[in-house]
Amino acid sequence: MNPPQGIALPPSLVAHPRPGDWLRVLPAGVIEVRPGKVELGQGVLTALAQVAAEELDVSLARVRMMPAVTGLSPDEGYTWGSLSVQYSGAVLRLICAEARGRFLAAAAARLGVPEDKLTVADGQILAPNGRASSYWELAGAGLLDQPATGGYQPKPASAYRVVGASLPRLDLPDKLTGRPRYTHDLSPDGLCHGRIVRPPSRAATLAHLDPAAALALPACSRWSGTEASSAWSPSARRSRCAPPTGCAPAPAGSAVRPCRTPRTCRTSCARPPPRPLCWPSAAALLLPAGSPRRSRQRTTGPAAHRGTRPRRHAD
Amino acid sequence: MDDERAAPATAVLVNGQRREVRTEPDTALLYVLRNHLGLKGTRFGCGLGLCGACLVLVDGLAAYSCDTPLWAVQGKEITTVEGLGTADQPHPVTRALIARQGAQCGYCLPGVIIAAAGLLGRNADPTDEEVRAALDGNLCRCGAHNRIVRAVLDAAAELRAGPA
Repeated sequence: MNPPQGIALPPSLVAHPRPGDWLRVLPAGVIEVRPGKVELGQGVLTALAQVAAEELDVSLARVRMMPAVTGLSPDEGYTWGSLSVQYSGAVLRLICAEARGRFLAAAAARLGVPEDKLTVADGQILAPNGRASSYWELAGAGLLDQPATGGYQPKPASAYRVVGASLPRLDLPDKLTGRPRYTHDLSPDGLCHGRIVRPPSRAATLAHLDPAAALALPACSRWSGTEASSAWSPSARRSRCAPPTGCAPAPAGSAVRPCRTPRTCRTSCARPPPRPLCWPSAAALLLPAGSPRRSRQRTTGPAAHRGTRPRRHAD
Repeated sequence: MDDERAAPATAVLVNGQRREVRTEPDTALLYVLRNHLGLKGTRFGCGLGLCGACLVLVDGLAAYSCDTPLWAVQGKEITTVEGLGTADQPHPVTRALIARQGAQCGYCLPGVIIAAAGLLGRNADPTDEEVRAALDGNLCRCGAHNRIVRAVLDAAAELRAGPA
């Protein structure tokens, strides 16, 4: 293999040069790919899966895209600017070409066949004499531990079979059937109780918040409130919200008719609300004893666009 | 998790199952579904009954769960997006949306699916205009609208044709 001439390694790869940080081959024949970019509906997980499948010569079904997780995934900065394929895709293209090359070299040694006589079919490495190996058979050899060299030429575009095809997005079935895929579906490890508490109207401020019931839960002994928005300042928390007024009457025959105008009450018009509702302006978290008061997020930007620290349910 | 231990138990009928939750009767149905019952498919969007992300079926009619208190759904049948079809056999609307790739971020789509299922429950053969009118309350800022409408029409045709 000739190293590509004059091609600088992409910045993400310079920062995270170990192929094993991006790619893992599981003994069951699954290729785990862990980009540092986040699926926001732009379809990037599918596109990056195609890049990996193409360079590794495996079917798309073998590729499992892993969610970006702070502290575990390669740090690729923000997901922005339509740059995910350009940056993450460039890395995966080189990494996967290099991984394929390393596996081929190892298989050649094991099978006693020159490397250029071997072919790869869906991760199976086949020799002309009928002997075979596979990525997953060689997965335990630590082949992905050494830093990438960029010395393995990726496929020319003319050889693409998977890249360039318009494929159904891998993330949509989960999103359309209600399986957890979004930040507010998170259930972080070690969280014994958590609620995002939202105000019922623009004018509402936090009147009081009683964490006693949650603190009484087993293992819950620390309270950590996080301000959800600077629009509701802590200094305004003590003020009371206005009692509900102006609910339109419920239409005849309507059991559930949300109040429309003005938006000052929190309940249906079918009966008056039992009492004024004052909602906190904080996203409240209760952490187990001994937890740091604030989560150690290394990012300072909008968390929604970053790999966030808590593990996601799925991605 | 039942965090309001002292609150009275309320029975709710969700996706064909009777579930018991302990919370105040004026808790929004959305929070009961997401927090107490762990059904994360129903989304918080605006919290004001304006965007349609939180729609659920209440006795077959689409209702804003963010703006519906728990007491108002006593004895009523609630269907969330998790209750429409199964993992192996998704609802025809869901299947059509996947086939049409009618999504970008996908956040609004459970609400869209609920609104569309509600429409098809009362009108088996809607026109393009009727679909658009029925989905008028579902805000999607990604711009998948036309694919969504075509998917709903596909699903209607499939439902009329009967089981394959």
